[in-house]
Amino acid sequence: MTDIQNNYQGIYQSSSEIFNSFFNEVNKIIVGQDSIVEQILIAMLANGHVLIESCPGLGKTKTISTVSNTLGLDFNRIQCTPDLMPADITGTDIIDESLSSGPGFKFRPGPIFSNIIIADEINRTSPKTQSALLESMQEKQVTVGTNTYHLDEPFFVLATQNPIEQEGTYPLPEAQLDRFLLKILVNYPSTTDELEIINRFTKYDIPDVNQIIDKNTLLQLQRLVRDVPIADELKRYVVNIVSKTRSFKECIEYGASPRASIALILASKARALIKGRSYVDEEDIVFMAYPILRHRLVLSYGAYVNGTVPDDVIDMILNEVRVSF
Amino acid sequence: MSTDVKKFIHKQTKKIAWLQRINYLLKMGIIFQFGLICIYIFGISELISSSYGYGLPISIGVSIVLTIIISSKIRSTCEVNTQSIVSSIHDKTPEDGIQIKTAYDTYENMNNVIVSNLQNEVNKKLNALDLSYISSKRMTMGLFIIFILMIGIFGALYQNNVYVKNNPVDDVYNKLIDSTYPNINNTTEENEPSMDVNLNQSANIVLDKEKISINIDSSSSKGMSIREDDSSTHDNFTTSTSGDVYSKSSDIYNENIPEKYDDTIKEYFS
Repeated sequence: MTDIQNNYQGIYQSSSEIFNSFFNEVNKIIVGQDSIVEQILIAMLANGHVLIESCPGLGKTKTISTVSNTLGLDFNRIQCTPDLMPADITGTDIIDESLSSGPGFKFRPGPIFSNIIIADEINRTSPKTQSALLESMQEKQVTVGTNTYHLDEPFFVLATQNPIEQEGTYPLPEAQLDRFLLKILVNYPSTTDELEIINRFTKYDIPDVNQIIDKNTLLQLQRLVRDVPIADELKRYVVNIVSKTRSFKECIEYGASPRASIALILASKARALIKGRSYVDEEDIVFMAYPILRHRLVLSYGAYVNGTVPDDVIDMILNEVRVSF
Repeated sequence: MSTDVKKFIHKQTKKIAWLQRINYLLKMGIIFQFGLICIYIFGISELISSSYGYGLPISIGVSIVLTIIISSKIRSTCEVNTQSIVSSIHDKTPEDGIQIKTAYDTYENMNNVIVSNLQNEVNKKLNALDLSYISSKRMTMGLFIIFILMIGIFGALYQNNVYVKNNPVDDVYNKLIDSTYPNINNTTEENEPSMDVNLNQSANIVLDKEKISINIDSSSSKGMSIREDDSSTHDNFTTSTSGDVYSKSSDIYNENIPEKYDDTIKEYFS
């Protein structure tokens, strides 16, 4: 066995312990959002971006900032507003008079140059600024003027948005939505959880979190995720699910792209690793189908009028498509 | 270690395939015997015979064709392969099925740390699995019932002397003889063809009210058929060289056959 394999063997064997510590640390602050935290971690392990949608006040920003703190990565927060300009995100060239060769342009990096970007209320900013995130999310680079700057690895965009029906919002274009690996919905907490939230956040001392995962460990875990094996039947199952979104014309106007198939398999692998399994199970695919597909489906007018939501359609598809052994 | 999963699946596939083959053969036997029962019990043979004259061969032919068609259908529905074994494991415990299939699909990628770990996990599980785990109880019971049924039908046919007294093969043979030598059918009971054959003696055959006399000489290989022996020889034939002059032939092939063999030979030709 080579040194690299030994190294991965070590990371793999300690991965369960790492994940347990991570969840315990996040749970010091976040109450009753285990599934949300798990999905954020899955996206990070699969090297994808996350869009979190909920009504205001449900702790989405708090959850993301807590997760960022436990990862020990650089993170910046961008509060998206209608007057936010693309250069405010990417950075811009400024005149630097202190150069030895005389005054000249110097690139001043924007907040996008960080490992984790929290784009808070992303649907409140204009489409022009939203589009500025496109290149950085997909290519992991920024182009300003004639120069292209590469972003540091790992790079995540964790965006939050309020439901699109609310006033003063700009729905994200489909092309940009497709670049988010997961769309996570945050629901209202249960009464018990809400009582616990009140108890924690009405004290003077609010608990702090420690760093659990460093940058190198996260990069190694990302590689491990891609090594998780998956049975051929499950790959076919994923393809059948995604294909069904394109042929289910009764409810879906436009289905998911092959990027969704890749995303579903990667996310399922990441979940299997978090669950301590050495293979992808059908359960992983079913669980991940909702956050992977719900923002990639454009529902038909009939479905919209009937009050059908994407999760209902995904339910129907999962009931119809089965793993064939 | 890397091939354990593959070996296991292939081994189990072979075992189940053999069971299926036995099952298949037994079913073929049962169907064929049912065909014979129909022929003898329901008089299908006579029915067809009265219409076409070749009832029994047709009945057996139909029985064989039906057997092959039905058996092929049974076989196609019971086809065993790796996929069906994995499917069987998956039906019993879905999680194990997916895990074993994943290990089977990725067994070559042993450099992968997770795959290596998966193989170890699966190998431990495979030790606990046996044939009874994979083959369904329904299949085992089905095989047992088919076997009992087969024996039962065979026994019933034997008890009713279906094979002894009314052997369909004999009937077919007789029909063939009838069609080959139609004149034999014209003989009356009194002058049925009779064959009185003795070694080195004249044998008499009555055929079509005409008595034919032939002489059998085993040493010359003549007289074994009712046709005239062809005396002509090919010009290019050469005489074979004689064998070892010192060799001694067996008494059996000597023309001076001991008297004690007379009865045996007569019995053979009678």
